[in-house]
Amino acid sequence: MVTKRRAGRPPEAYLPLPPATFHILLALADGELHGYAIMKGVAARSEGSVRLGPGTLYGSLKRLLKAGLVEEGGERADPERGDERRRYYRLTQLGLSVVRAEARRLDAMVRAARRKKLIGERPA
Amino acid sequence: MSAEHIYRLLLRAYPPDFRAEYGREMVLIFRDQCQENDARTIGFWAAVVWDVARSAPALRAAAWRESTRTMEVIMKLAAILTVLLGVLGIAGAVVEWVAGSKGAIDGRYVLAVVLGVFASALLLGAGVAILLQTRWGRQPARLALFASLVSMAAARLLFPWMSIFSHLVGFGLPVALLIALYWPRKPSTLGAASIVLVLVFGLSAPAAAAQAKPGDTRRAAATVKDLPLTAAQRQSFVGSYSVTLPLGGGSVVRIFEENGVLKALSEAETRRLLYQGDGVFRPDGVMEGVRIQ
Repeated sequence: MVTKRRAGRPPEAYLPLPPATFHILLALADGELHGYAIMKGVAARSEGSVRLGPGTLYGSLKRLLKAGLVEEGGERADPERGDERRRYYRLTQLGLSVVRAEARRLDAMVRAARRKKLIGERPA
Repeated sequence: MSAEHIYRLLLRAYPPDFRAEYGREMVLIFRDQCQENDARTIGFWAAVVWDVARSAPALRAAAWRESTRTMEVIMKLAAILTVLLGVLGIAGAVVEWVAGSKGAIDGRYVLAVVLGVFASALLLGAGVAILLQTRWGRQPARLALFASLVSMAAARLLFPWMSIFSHLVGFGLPVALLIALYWPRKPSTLGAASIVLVLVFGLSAPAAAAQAKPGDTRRAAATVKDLPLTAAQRQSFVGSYSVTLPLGGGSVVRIFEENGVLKALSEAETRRLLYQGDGVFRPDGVMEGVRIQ
């Protein structure tokens, strides 16, 4: 499998990530997933506030594959769904670094908001 | 019409490459959605249509930018090729001129060579105009190509025995470039085909040039007659003559008969003579006929 990787580009260069992209990378941090599992994971994690359609999902995946943040992990049937073979995706090392960098960036922003008492210590 | 059929129709909004890559996966996800949701509700279809409307234009735009970039790179390569072929065309015409000037040359030939140089210079100019992308856009390149075509057509009328190289570069290349220039930003089949034509002409022209000699006689051969002569008529032409050939210079030519055909011997070179009628012969492989009196 050959994926395009932009050598020498630091993870911070990809930030800030669009919300849909961050959610996809966050979902893939759990391991290899197929498209529908990513969609379900994103919807569950955001408690339904972010709902990716197939077009948005695969459009984002195409860009992430091209950027080398995600790679394909082969095709196989989902044992839970037991139907046709599905294409699986996983994070690359660069993708993992980027999602960590974005999480740190968001965390710093949340801490700054807390210091200013804009939000409480714990999420409501 | 099933829900899946409608969704497959909606997928046509995406670029073909994207559909080929992800269409099957998207249909699988749609099936999953249909199993877990009521596909008969307006809300379900509103979400589906919203997803397509939101993502398809961006993907179309990305695909269009990608293809435009590729086309522009190819056009630049074609322009560089045109510049090189323009220079080669001028050099070829000069060689033709030098070869022709060794013997007696007529005005038509001179004009044809001058037009050939002019057409090649215009080709060169068109290539430079495409490369520079002036503020007037591609119009100067189009005008130069049209003018080059007209010049070449005039040269062809004056001097029908052009080499294959001259035909390829003089007619094929401007026509292919013009098509490409009129369809430059839309990735159409015709535009792509013309780009391929430009490259084919470009790649085949040097090979044709290597084969072609100044004053290529292949086209002339199609119109050359070889009228039969009786033995008495043949005999009447046998002898030594002082002849001035259009491209071969003046010399003494000895005409003799061998195996029922007339041949001319000049400067240790023997050529068969083809009778054109009215006392005119054309040495085999020579473009101009000579009248033997």
